[in-house]
Amino acid sequence: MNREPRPAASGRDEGRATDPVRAELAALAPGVSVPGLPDGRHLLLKEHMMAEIRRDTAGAPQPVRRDPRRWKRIAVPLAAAAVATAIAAGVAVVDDGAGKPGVAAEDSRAADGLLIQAAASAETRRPAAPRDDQFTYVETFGRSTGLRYAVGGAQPEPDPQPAGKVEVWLPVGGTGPTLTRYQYDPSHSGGGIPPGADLPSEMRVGDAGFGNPSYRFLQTLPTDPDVLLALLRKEAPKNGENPRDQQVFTMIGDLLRTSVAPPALTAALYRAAAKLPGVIVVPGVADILGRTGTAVTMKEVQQTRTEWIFDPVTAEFLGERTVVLDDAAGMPKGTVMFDSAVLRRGIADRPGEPPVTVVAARPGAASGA
Amino acid sequence: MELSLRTRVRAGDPDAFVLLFDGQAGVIHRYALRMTGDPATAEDVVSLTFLEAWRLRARLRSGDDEEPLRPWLFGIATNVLRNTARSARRHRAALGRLPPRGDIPDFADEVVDRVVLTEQLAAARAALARLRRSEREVLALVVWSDLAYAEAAEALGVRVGTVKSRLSRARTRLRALAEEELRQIRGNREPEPGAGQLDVDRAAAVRPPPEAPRGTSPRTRSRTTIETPGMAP
Repeated sequence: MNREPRPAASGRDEGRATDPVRAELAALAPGVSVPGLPDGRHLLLKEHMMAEIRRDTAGAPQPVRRDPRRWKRIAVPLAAAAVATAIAAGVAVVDDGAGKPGVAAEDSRAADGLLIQAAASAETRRPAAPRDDQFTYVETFGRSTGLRYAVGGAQPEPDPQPAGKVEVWLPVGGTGPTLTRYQYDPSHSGGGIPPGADLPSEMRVGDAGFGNPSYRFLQTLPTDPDVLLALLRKEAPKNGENPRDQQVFTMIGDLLRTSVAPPALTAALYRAAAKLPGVIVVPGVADILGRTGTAVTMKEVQQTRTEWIFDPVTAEFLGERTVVLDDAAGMPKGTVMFDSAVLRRGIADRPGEPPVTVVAARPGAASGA
Repeated sequence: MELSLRTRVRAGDPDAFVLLFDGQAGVIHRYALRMTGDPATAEDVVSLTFLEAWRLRARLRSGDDEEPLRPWLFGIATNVLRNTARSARRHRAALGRLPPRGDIPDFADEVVDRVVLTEQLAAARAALARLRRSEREVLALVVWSDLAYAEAAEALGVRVGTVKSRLSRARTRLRALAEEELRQIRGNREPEPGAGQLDVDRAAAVRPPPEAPRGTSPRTRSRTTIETPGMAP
C-alpha cells in the first residue's frame, strides 16, 4: 500500500503544538467536535468484522489458528489426532438430528451420483432469456453466526445474528445499478434491530466476474464440465493454505447460492463439482427453513465443512450451511456458522421490484421468511 | 514469545484484529464522520476499512514492531473514503450481513444536539469543499486526526514534503475563503474582479468540487464564470 520509502520516524515531527501551519489550519477549519461511536455500535461492528474474518477463514481462506504451521506441527499430533481419524473414517462426531446444530454422519456413497442427478434436474429448466436492461433477482433467507468477544478480546462465544431475508438485484448486462435489500425477521431479531435496509451500488464495465456474476458473464463460461473445472481451478483465488480444490468448491457454492445462471451452466457446475476429489454425501441435513435434504460437502482444512443441501427427490438446490467439525476451528463443534436457503430466483425489470419472471421458487418457502 | 501486534496482524490472527478494532475504530470513525458528514456512511467506512485491512493484511509492511499501525489503517480508510462505492462492491456480501442500523442512537453522547451537529458538519463540509481532495485529506489527517506529518505521509503513500505543501495550499485557500466571508459580512457586494486577486489556487474555483454544498452563493458562481478554464487539478 505504501510503496514510497518510509519517511523519517514520526514523533519528534515538527513539534506539533508550535507548528504555525498546523495551528493556523486548526483555527481556519476547526474540526467539528464529533461524538464517538456508541459502545453498542462499536461492539456490533466489531462482531460483524469478526464474523466476516471467521467466514473468510472458514469458507474460503486461511487457517483459523494463530500460526498455521505451529497448529499443524503440534495440535494435530496431539489431541486432535483421534478426532481427525474419526472424521476421516466417516464416523459421526455428533448427530443431533436434522434441523439442529450438529455434525451429521457422512454416507459412504460417493457424492457424484447426487450431483449428476442435480445437474440433470437443472437442465430441465427453461433458460430465462433476460434482456440486457433487466436484472437478475435472488432472494435468500439466512443467518450467520459470529463470535462475541468481550472488549479486549477474551474467549469468544458463538453469537447467532438475526436471521433475515436478503434480496439481490444485479444488472443482466453487467453494468448499471445493483441493489441489495435486507429484511430481518422480527421474530428472529435480537437486540432490537428492525428489519429493512437497502444498499444500492453500481456495476461498471469490467466489474462482472465471479464476484459479481451477471447473467451475461455467466453465459460466457464453458459448459463442458472439464473445461469449466480447469477454468475454475485457474481462477480460484489463492488463499492461505487452502487447497485449490477447496477454493473451487467454495467458488461453485457461491455461484449456486447467489446467481441466476443459465441452466446449462448450473448443470456444468454440478458436474464439475462431482469431479472434485474429497466431495462426500451427508444425508438428513436440514436447511434453515427446516426442509430436510441430502447434502454434498467437502471437508475444509479449517475443520469446517460447507454443505450444499439438495431436495432428496428432485435434487434441486435448497440451500447451504457451514458447520464446525471440531472445536479446533475456533468455535464449538456443531456450530452452524452460516445457514442460508434460496427462496426465489428470477428476472426483474428494475432494482427493488419483484421479479417478473420466476425461474426457481421454493413452494411454501417465501411465507416462512 | 510474545508476538507483536504488527506481526500478528500480518499473520491473520483474528485476536489481533480484535485489538486493532478496539484501539482504532473510534479514531477511524471520527475521521470518516468528519469527511463524509454522515453517521451511517461513517459506520460503513469503519466496517469497510477493517474488512480491507483484513484483506490486505499480508501487504502490511513488516518492520519495527513498535511502530503504530495507525498510519496504515488511516491509509486504508482514506482509500475507502476516496471510493466508497467500489469498496462496498468488493465487500457487498459482507456488508449484506451487517445488521442494519436501527433505532440504536447514532451517537454515544446523548447530550449532543443533533441539529447543531448536523449544521456544524455541513459547515465543515462547505469549507472542505473548497479544497482539493488531496488537501482535504491532509487537513483531516494532520489537523483533525492529529497524525504527525510522517504518519500522514505514510497513510497517503507520499513524502513528508508533499504533506507539508498540501497543508500549505489548504491554508492559503482557507484564508482566502475566510477573507471572502469577512467581506460578505461587511456587506461589500462589489463583484470580485476574479479569484486571481485572491491568494488562491484558481483551479479550485474552475471546477466545483464534487461535494460542493448546495445553495452555492451567486457570488461564488459568478466568480466561477470569469475564471480561466483549463486549470483543473
